[in-house]
Amino acid sequence: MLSLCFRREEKKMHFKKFNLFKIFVFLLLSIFLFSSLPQSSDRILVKIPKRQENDLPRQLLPEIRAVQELDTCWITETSSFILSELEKIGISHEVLDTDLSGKSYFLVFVPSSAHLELLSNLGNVRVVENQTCLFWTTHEDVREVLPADFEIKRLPSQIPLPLRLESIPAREIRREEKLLRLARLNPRISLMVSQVSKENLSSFIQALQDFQTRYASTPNCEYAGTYIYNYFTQLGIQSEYDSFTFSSNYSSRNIIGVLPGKTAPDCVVIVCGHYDSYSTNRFVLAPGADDNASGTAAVMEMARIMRGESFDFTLKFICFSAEEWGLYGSKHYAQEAKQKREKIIGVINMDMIGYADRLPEDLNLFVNQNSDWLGNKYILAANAYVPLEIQKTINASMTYSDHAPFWDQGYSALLGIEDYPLNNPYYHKTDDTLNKLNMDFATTVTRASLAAAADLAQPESAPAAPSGVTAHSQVSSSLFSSTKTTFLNWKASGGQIAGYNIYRTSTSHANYKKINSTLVTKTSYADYFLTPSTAYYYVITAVDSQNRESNYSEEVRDDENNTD
Amino acid sequence: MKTTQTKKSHRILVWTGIFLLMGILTQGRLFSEAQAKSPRFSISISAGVFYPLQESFRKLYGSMEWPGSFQINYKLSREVFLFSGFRYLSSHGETMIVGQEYMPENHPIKLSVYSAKLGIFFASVQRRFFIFLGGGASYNFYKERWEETPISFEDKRFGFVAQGGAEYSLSRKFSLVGRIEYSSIQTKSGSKLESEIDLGGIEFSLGLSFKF
Repeated sequence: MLSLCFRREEKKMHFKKFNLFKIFVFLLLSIFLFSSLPQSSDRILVKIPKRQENDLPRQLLPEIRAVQELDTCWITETSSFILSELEKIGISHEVLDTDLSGKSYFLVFVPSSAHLELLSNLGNVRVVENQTCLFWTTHEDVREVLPADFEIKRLPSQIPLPLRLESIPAREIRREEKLLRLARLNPRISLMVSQVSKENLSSFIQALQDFQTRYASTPNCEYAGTYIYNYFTQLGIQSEYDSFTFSSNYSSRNIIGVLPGKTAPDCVVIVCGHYDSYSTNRFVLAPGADDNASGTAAVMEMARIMRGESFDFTLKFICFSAEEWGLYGSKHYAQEAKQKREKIIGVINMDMIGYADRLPEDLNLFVNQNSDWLGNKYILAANAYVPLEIQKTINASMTYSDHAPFWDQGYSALLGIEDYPLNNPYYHKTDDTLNKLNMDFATTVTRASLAAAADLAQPESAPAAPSGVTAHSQVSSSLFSSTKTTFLNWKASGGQIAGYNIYRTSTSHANYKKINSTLVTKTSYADYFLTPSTAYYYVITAVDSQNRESNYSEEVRDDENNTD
Repeated sequence: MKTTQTKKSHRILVWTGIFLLMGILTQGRLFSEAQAKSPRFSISISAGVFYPLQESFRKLYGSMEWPGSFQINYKLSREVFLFSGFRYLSSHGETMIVGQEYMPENHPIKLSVYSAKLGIFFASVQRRFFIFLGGGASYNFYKERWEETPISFEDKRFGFVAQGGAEYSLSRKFSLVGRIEYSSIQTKSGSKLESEIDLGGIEFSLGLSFKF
């Protein structure tokens, strides 16, 4: 009887062990199966109209990658699960494509319904907003597929952008008197502006035009790059090639000339234009005098003049390539700059600045919301030194030139262009030549851009601007109130310094207000009782014993040097 | 989260109302049972130690506060009493850094909480001991001030109290009171430290009671 009981117990134990073993094996198999399942990309391209960003639940934001900001909407990449969540909470959206694997998407400017119809016959098209379409095709080289008068921009793919919360639709701002309060005239900038030579600009354009074509992927484009590089080298400024590949394994080079800053060399002002060209007969003849030998010539002329000055911040003169293919050169540079955490203060991009369809011709400036300050500063500086009518437009959809990749990376950048929509009848044609250009207009725009760039880079002042500015911030809190304190430190300026002034703003690079009532004699300052949720920006000036005030130091954000 | 707390506050008020109503409704029946000559009122003054339940409160002001209070009890029947009282809590502390600290920075702060409470308790008399247990609502005014700056915050909120304790009769008129009280004051306000602050806690107090 007893042995029978034992057997039963043994059987029970055995049964239990067997069950446990089965469960264990089942779990192992499940884990193996789940992990070995092919990872479905499940990524879809979705358009989300603006003004809804604040309704997006915070926990969903990391799952939504904004790949392109436009004037009225975001183009985002997300999953079908997140899409269903958006539907649940009533966020309006439009699915643009459901299978992203192996595709390259391009934004295309579509000025008319005829263009749209033509585009539809060439590949897949989704209208994302007025005059802006998303286009993709199986052909690897989209530039080769599209007719000459289509402007394109490849969608960023490698570095997803954070979905920024603040956004406003485009609005056009005419010249306003309040914007035009006279900037402090700097005689050194005046002198530089006066040195801009129409003859030099013409000769640069002629030289670039003489390469017959500068279509990226052709040897002539590379020769043109070498010509610019050699010119920078002759000027005695640091020059470098910035090589990159694009489309179906073509390669090209951006040409970079560097004028290191004296006070804060890690802060950079970029002056740029693309040197590659395009036409209906692009492999043989694409003179591209207006598009964009004019902008390239302006960069070269500015380099010639500005190399003789010393500035607080570094100036980079960049001639981009493969712009006509979809902004590949500038995209390459901007992505690397972001990865290297390059402190780019602002980018002045000149593209087509030589054709005047009417007189007097005005300059169109395009900025996005983040770059509005830069547009204002450009207008202020330009109007202080040059008689030029400027029309500024805030429009995030104006993405068809080399400023746009900088926008994508969060940098401030502007585009200076003769007209948009374009009025040049020779645009992307074989007769876009020097004789069609109004060189007086090109000279005036170059002068305005030089004034703005010099104003941004700041000719060294006496006394010297404070350098090595750092900012840390911390939040103090009680049960019901919190305040932020910013701690600023900087290096002492040389010479007879009586003290320092501290300026603060909550809008980067604009509306600085002095916050100290008397001169600060130490090289540190604590700014107490600030609103914790507001970002503050600071600049510091040095004041010498003769009560002369220096240039602003580099701008620092209140938490710029916080470690987390 | 806020909706849950609003519901909780409503529930507290409803239960307090029911509690008071029960006491008032039973008053008539129980009056007859009441001893005609026994005192109907008692007033007690007490002081004690208050332990805040929220950690942020303790971090800023310490874990022991010393409030003072007085309470008037009105006998509805032998076992049922209405109570009403007032408590004042004042505490000094220092601000603290939330997140990354770059440099020590402490600002002196002061918190004052004024609470008026109304409720009902049930009592049981065991020889010289009088044991009670009850609850009610409180109306609270609180103010926090950064003492060396103009920064301050003040607001008013309803709360909830539950109390229990015992009285030991020293004589016909006087007795010693020991009381433990739980309170909750959900302010629906906060700071970077804590998004919603509860000023409630547990209070142990000792005092003297006088019957009349």
